[in-house]
Amino acid sequence: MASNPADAAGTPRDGRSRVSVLGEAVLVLAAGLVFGWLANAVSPRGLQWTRNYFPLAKVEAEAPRPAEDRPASQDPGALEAEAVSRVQARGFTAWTFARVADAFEDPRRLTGQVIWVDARPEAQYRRGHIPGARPLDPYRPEQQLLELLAACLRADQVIVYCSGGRCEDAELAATLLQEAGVPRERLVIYVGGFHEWVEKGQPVETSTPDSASAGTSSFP
Amino acid sequence: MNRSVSKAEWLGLVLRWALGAWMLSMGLVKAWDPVAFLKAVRQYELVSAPWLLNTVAIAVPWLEVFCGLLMVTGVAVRGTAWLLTAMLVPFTWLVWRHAWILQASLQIPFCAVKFDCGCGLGEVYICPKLAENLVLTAAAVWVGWTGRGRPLALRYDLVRGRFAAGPETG
Repeated sequence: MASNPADAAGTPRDGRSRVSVLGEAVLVLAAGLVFGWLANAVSPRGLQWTRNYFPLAKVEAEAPRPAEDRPASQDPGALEAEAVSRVQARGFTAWTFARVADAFEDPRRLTGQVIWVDARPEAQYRRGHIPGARPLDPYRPEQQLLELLAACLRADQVIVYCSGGRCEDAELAATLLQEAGVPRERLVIYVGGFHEWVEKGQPVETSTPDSASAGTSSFP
Repeated sequence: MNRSVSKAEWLGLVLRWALGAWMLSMGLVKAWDPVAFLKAVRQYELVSAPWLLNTVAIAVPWLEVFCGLLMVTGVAVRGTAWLLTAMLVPFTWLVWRHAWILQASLQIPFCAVKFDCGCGLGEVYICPKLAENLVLTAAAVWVGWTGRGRPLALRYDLVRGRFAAGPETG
């Protein structure tokens, strides 16, 4: 351990020392990239370099028009209109809360003719989801898609949701299901998503399809 | 401890550790949920090619972890500090630009803009975020420029020799 008598100001002494520091930065960058490549390869959460995680067509959403007395950020109607417009532009059917609430009361939900798909990350799904919904994380769909596909192919209607608002994960999941063979006309996106569902005080389930202990609660 | 070590060196050590610990923790948060970071990077519309987007989302968190480790342990400190500066400056500009676009479209005051900038902390208000980034950048520039923070460093200068900026240490 020593003090730094480099120079009075403690700054580089000449151009060559700057080059040395620059070379050091380049070395660190190169080593860091190799480190990142290796860490990503061994991490169970690692990403695939070449996969297109967003296979959705780019939609130029119409800018949300704010209500006269409040900005768009506080206007749920504007946000919902934006989401409906985006979902329809991608060729999917968009449902708002009223339609979804009716569908939830539909007895076909219990016979598997209407399937609910939760496209949020699995951790969020485990913390709570719409009762009976099956998980399908569109970023890691492999296993879940296999488990879900047969049921979706048999169903008359598949309702997909994510967090709601500007979340596009429901559209991603619907695209995956469509590519796997589920007819587009059977796929419906609930644009309000899970946040709206909870805000409306609807029941929430914390169990998973394969777990025995079901827990359903109604959020205030 | 060597009594001749100046206050500036100790300040450098504190900044080095603080900067390193911050980068390490933020990098780990991003690496823990790379999909969330991937979505955050996508919102900036920097690149459109999937492989390039994935590369950024894979490289940045682990690069932060790596740089954080180097800063904390005191290896290649000045080069790492300049590399962090080179990462922080464009990122801060991107966050500022995105917030500017948001405030224009949402018609709200600039400091009321809140979004997930991909920084590892979830949704944050833009003004404290920019202030935080300015402090981090200033710390990185100071350490990189002055070459302070040598106490307890494992190998402060990676390349040792007659052209190295500081004295032989450790």
